[in-house]
Amino acid sequence: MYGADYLIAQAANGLVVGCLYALMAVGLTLIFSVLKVINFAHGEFYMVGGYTAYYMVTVLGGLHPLLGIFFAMIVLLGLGSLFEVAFLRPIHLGAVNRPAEYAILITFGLSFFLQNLVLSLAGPFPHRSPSFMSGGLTVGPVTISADRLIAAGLALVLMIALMLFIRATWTGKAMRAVSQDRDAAAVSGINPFKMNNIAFGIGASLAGASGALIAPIFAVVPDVGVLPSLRSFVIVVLGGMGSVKGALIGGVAIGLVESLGAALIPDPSRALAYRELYGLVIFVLVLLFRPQGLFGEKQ
Amino acid sequence: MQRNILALIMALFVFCSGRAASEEEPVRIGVVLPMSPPGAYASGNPMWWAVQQAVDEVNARGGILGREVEAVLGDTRGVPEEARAVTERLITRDRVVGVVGNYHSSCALAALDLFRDHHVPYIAAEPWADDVTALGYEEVFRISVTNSLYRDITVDWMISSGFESIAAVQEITDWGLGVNEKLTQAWNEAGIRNETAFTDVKTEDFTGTLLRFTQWSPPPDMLFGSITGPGAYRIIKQAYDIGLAPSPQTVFYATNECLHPEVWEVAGEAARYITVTQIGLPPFAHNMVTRQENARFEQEHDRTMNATVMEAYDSFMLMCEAIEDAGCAHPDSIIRALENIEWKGMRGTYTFPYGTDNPVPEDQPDYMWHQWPDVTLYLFQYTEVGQSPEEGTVIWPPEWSQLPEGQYYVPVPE
Amino acid sequence: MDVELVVQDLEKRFGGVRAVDDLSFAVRGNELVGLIGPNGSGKTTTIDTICGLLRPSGGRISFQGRRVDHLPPYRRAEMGLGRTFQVTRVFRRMSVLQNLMVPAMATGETDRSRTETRAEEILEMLTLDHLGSENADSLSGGQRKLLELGRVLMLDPDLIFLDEPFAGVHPRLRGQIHSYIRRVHANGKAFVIVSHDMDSIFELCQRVIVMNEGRKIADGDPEAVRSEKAVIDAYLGEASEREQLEHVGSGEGPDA
Repeated sequence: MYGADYLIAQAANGLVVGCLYALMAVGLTLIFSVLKVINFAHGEFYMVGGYTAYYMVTVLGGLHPLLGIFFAMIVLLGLGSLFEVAFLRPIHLGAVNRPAEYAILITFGLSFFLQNLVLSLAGPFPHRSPSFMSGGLTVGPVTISADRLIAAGLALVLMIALMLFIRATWTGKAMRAVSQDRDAAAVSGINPFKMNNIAFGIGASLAGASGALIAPIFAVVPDVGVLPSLRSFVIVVLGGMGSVKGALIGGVAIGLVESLGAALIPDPSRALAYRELYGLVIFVLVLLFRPQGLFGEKQ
Repeated sequence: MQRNILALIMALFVFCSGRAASEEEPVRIGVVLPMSPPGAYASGNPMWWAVQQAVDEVNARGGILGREVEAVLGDTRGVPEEARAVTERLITRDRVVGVVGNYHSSCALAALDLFRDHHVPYIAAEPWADDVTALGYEEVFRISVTNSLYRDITVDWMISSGFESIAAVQEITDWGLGVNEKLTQAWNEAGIRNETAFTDVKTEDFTGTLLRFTQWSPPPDMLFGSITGPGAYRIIKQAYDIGLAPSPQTVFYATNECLHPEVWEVAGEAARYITVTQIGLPPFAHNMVTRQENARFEQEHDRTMNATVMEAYDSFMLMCEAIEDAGCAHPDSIIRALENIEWKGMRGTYTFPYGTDNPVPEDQPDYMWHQWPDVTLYLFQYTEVGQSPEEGTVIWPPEWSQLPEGQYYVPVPE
Repeated sequence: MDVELVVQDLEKRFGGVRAVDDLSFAVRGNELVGLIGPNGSGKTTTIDTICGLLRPSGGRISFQGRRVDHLPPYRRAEMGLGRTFQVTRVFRRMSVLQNLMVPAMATGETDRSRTETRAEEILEMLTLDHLGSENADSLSGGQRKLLELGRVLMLDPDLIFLDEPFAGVHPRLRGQIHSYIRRVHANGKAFVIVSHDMDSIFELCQRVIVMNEGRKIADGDPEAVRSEKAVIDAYLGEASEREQLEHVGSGEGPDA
C-alpha cells in the first residue's frame, strides 16, 4: 500500500521525536530510582524549561538558542534542588505519616501551582523560541527540519553524558548505591539526602532541557507539559521503573510505535486518534507480561 | 424572656438594615470562561479583558439601574463538570442576575439546564453547537455562529473554489466532532472526496498523519487543520515543513485560533497564505463601536480584538443593556427586554426575532430560537508574514470578497 | 585500651513494645564481643539503633567519646562504625568490585587507582578476586556475606557489627570467615558479632553479652555466661530455638 520511502520517512520522524521523549523520561526515572517518588510535576519542569529558554533567548539576553538550553538546565537544577529540600526531604526524614500519598499530593500540587503561576506571569498565549538553525536535512526520502535534528542530537548527548556520569563518577556510584539500597548505602557512609538532592536536581534539569529543546519546535504554553508527562510515565514503566537505559530505549520505542502506528493503521481517520493509545497498549501489555519493565528488576 | 424578645427585635433590625444596604449593592453579572488549563485559556483570558473593558465603560457612565455593575468571573477550565459547578455557584452563591460567556460548547451544554431550572438569563458568547439554542430554553440567547451556519457558509466557499479532495485533521472535542459531522455530510453531498484524521487536541506532532496525506495522488486541494489551542499553529508549521500545505496545490484552511498574532511567532513563514474564518464583520464593514472599542483594547493589551473577544464584550454589554431596558433585574423582565432588543455592538446590531411571542417558523431551523440571525462570518487569507487579520485579503463571501470575480482564494505562488 | 562504644540506658519502643529496654554496655577498642539471645530478643534492633537506622526512644550512645545518637547513619559510618546485615544487603546491580568502591566516598579517598588496589586486596583476602567484575546479583548467599564483610572493611572502621555472619554459610566458608575476623581483629579492630551459631561465638569471642526480651541478662566471660541460670532459662524457654540452632545453615532465619 505504501512505499518504503514513506515508511522510512515515518520511522525517521519517530526516531527523532523518540529521542526527545526519552530525555524527559530519563529524568523521571532517575528521580524515581533514587527517591522512590513519582514526580507528578515533571511536565511542569519541562514547561518551565521551555519558558526559561524562551525568555533567555528573546527577551532578556538575546542569547544563542543553544545557550538558552544551558540556562534552562541551570534554572531547573536550582528549582528541583530547592523543592527537594523543602518538600521531599521530610519523607526521607520519616517526618511524614503517609509518605506515598504525601509525595503524590506535593508533586501534584507543585504541578498545579507552576501551571497557574506561569499562566499569570507569561500570559495565556503560546511562545516559540527562535530556531536553533533554519532549514532542514534531506537524505533520500527523508526531510527533517534542522531544529528537530539538533534537538534529538542534543537529547542523545545529554543522555549519554548522564549515563557516563552515573557509571564513572563517585557521585554517580553513590547515587546508584542509594537507589539500590538506601540503608546499606547510609551505613557505608553515603549521605542519602545529598544523593536525593542531586538526583532530583538532575532529573528536573533534564526535564528542563527537554522543554528548552522543544520550545523552537512545538512552542510552549502553560500546560504544554501535560501530555509529555503522561507519556513519560508510560515510557518509565515500559523501560523498567528506575532504569535509565530502559527509559532511553523505551522513549525511542514509543516514538517509533506512535509514528509507525499512525502510518500503518489502515483506517486513516483513527490512525492519529489512537496515537497515544499505542503507547498505552504497550503499557498494559508490559504490566501484564513483564511488570518489571524491559530493564527493570523484579521486586 | 424579655431579653430574648429584645434580641429578636435587634436581630430583625440588623437583618432589615442589611436588606436596605443590599439595595445599594452592585448588579452582578456572571461571566463563565475558560481561564486556565486544560481549557482554551488563550481565548478565555482576552475575552475576560474585554468584559472588564465593558464593565469600566458601563460604570463610568453611571452603571445600570443607578447601581454599579460587577462582573463575577467563573473559570470553567474548559471542563464541562467544572463549568456546571461554577455556573451553579454564580447563580446560587453570588446571586448573579444574568450570565454571559462560554467558549467551549461542551461547557455551555453542561450548564444549560441550570439557567432553565434557576430561571436566569444567559447569553452564549462563543459556543457553536446547534443545541445551545435549538433546545429552545426561554432563558438562553446566542450571538455567535452555529455549527450549521458555519458549515453552510464555508462549504459554499469550498464548492465554489472547486475543491475535489479535502484532507482534514480534526481535534476530538465536542466542538470538533460536531463540526466534523456536519462538514463531512456536506462534503459527501457535494461529491468532494474527503478523509478526516481525528486527534487529541493536545497532540504536539502531527507529522505522521500529515505524511500520510502526502501519499495522495494528486495531492488534496485543501487541508483543514481543525485544531484549537497551540496545536493550531503547530500543524501549520508541520504541514509546511513537509511541503504539504499551504502549497501551490493545497490550500490550508485553519481554525480561528489563527486570528491571534501568535500564529506568526509559532508558525512563522508557514502561516502565509493560510485561510482563516472570522466570526464577525470584515474591517471595511466595522462600525464606530468596533473601531472605538478595538482602539481602546489595543492600547491596553497591545493586540486587537478578534471576533471571539468582541463576542465577550458584546454579550456583556447586551446583558447590561437588557437590564437597563427592563428597568429591574427580574429575570422575566430581562428575557422580555432581550427578545425586544435592538442594540448596536461591535459586531453589528443585535436582535432576537424568534422567541416567546414569535416562535421559530417551520421553514427555519430549531437553532434560530433566541439566535441572533444576522451573525456573519467571512473568510480571509494572510498574504504577508506578520499581518493582522484586518490586513488579510477577504475572500468569502462574494459580496465582501476583495478578489477578482470568479477567484475564491489567493494561490500560493509556485 | 580506650572505651570506643558506650551504650547507656538504651531504649527502643515500637508502639507499646519495648524491643530494647534499659540496655547498657561498653565495647573497648580491639574487643571481640558476642551478642546473643533468643529470637526477638532485640539484638538486630540494638545494632540498627547504634548504627543510626533507628532512632532510640531513650538513653544515649557515645562513640569515641562523642555522643552520636542524633547523628545520621552516614556520619557514624564516617566516624568508624561499620556493620553488616542479617539478610545481606549488597548493591545487586553493581559489580562486586564496584560494591567495594561505594564506601570509599565516605573515607575521603578520592584516588581511584589507590581505592581499586585496596578493593582488590580485600577481594583477594576474601577469595572473591575472580568475581570482581561479576554482578553482585549473581553471587551465592555465602559469597554475598563475604562481599558485605569486604564492603565494611573498605570503610576502614574501628568497630564492626556483624549481624549473623555465619547464617546460611557453608561450614567450610564459616571457618574461612572465622580466620578473616581474627586477622582483622589482630589489626586492631573491635567486633560485635550477633549470631545463633554458639560454636562460633564461643570459639571467637572473649566476652559474650546475652539479651532476652530487650534486656541484657548476662555479660562476661563466655564460660561464665554459659552457666548462668538466667541464660539457661531464656534458652530453655524456647526449645525450638535450640533445635533451630542445630540446623543453622539452611537459610537466613528471621530475627527481631
